[in-house]
Amino acid sequence: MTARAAYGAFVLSAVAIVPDRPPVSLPGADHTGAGYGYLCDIPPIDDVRLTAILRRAGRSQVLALTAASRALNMYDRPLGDPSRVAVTFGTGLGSIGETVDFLENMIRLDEQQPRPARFVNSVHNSAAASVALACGLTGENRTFIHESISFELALKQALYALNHNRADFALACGVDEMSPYLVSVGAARRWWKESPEPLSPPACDKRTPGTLPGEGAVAILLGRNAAPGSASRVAAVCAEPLASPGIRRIDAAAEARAFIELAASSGVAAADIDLVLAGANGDAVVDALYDRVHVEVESILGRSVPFAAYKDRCGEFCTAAAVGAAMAMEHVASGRCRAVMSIGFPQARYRSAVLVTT
Amino acid sequence: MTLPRKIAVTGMGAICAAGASPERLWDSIEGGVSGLGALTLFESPRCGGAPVGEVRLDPSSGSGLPGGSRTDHLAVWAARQAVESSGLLCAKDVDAARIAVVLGTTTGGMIDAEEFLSELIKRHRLDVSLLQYHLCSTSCNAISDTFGFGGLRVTVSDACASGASAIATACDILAAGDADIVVAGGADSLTRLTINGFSSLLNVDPGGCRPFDANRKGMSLGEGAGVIVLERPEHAVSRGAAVRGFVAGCGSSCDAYHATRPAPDGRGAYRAMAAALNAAGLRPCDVDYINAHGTGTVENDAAEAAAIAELFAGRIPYVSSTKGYTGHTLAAAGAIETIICLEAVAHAKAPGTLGLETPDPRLGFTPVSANIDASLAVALTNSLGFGGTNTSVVVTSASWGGAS
Repeated sequence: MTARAAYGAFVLSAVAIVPDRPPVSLPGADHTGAGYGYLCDIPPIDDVRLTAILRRAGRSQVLALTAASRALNMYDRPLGDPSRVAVTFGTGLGSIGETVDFLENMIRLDEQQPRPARFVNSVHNSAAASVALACGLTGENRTFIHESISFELALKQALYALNHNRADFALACGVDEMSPYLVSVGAARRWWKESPEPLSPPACDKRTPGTLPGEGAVAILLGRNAAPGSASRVAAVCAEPLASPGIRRIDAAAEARAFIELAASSGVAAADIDLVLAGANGDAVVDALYDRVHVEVESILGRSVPFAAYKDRCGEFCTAAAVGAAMAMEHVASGRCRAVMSIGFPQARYRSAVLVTT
Repeated sequence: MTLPRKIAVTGMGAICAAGASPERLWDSIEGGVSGLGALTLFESPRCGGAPVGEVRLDPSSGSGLPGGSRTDHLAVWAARQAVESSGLLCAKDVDAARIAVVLGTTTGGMIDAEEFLSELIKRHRLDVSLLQYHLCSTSCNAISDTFGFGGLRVTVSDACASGASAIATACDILAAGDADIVVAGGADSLTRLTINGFSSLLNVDPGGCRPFDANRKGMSLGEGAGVIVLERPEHAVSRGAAVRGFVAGCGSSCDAYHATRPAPDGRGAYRAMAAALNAAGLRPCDVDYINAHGTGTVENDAAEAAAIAELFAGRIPYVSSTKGYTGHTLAAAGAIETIICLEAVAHAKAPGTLGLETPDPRLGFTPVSANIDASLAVALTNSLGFGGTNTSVVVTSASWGGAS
């Protein structure tokens, strides 16, 4: 067996475009009911490079381009050779709005007047390609679409590109958009709460089943080398299948140990973990699992470790973990924490973690 | 860190219109038999009479899956061949928790999503059971679950470069020590979405694809799956696996030129090929055969040819496209064509370009039109996708000793 390499990268900037407001009423697909969820206000675009591309872009492309251009502008230094800048994307459902629009039109009109622009936008890597095109980034460009670990896989690929010396910089992004179909299909599968209650974890006895859908985009500019102002670094990324999937089968003690071992194998002292960001999403059963993991982590470390949630800012979506990662980077960069681990159990099938430290 | 220059290929599996195994696919190439024909899988007025590379047998008959999308069945069909031929199923001292699966796909179970939407629009029926296998990740998961692999599960979607990109990410995973073995490849089934989409872009040749031909008018769509088993050479040796060849290096780039059109000068393809050769520690003159992306569209073939002519100036290797046999299988293409490269070096034969009658004089070289017997040690395959995403994979024969 080959030993795992300890890969890391410096965080040069991180931007999250998230709803950051209470849930709103949302339409469902035609012939189905409405629901509630977290919806982003599309921010005004202040980058002239983007306007031509945005005119034809789908919602997730717009969100992603906005986050990416802000992350690049925030770094505010030349990136050098554009072929040494990798772009890696995670998206669970891609441009679902564009895809559905193309298909609806195809079905209703019996394939008579297909809309080519919608087809082009429907391709899963359209957001990654749009960012590369708008920003002139000609390095490796890869998109991952593996359910709710898509962002973690994109972040991992960014570390591969940097640590294998194929890139000097990597822009790792996660994006997913709201869709009426998501509202309807989730409702039919009883994923969603029936009222717009905030997802911030309430007291245990007031928890209810289900979560609320959301959307957002995150862009994180990583560097192989530290730069002035880079105050945090990604020390580890994990996106592994659970040996025993299923929310009620997850062993909280074993998972707590796995997270602490991940820190140790990445050279981060457990004593430095000042905060854990949990993927709690307001669902009573899911949140109870994080409570148990919290107890076990504190038991292993022999001290109090605050756990905080973040999905009350964005709702639940496939790449919501990117929001947790960006928040972790913000906590470390601001000097509030020495190390922060953002953890999750996506779909109760995977163990996910992003460890950020100084 | 020091990266391994070569990753061993210890198993291969393929299914496409030109054959339901690597051996049958190679037989079709040796015999000059195209798999293209009329679309029978579903009705599509938009397709008209344009030939497609449809898999004629029922892929669920050989996948062993109890359920799944057509793409899932194609993927597991190919994976089963790859895993069985690698000897993994009877291998001792192999930790299943360290076997990862990386699969590229562009549409996954889209064919099911099309039915879901049709039901909703035409009958106002929201039947979520039709979406059970529509996510693109289900094919990767199906491979892992079928064989009990507990390692990483990764689904890549880089448009038509997805299969090659999956192989590149698989090599990264092995280099990082994140797995001991990676089962990697790509899979896609024909869908109305892709038939209508490419047709609306006027990218389909109604008479069948003619890669690199002066009169080419577009591609022929296809479907299929290609899967290879990858491991570090020392790992393969330690478990006594037969090495079928090596992935010597992969390289990726982005044109950043246009959403669908390649940069006319082929600069993105050039950089992907150069990066793959650099990763392999090889020079352009070491390459004996290029399996081009060669879709048959006017712009793709011209841009790719420009890149090849520039990078290999002075010594153009044998160049061909095999899409006349298989059709353009989208995410499967990079993996299937990697397998064709491995078969080509093993059989010492450069495949011809089916459909090529009048080579385009503007290419700067003449592609191989008919099969050529030749000693081949190093082959390179290109995959160029929407969004200007390019990935090249360099393979060598099992016996190749290194650059001269």
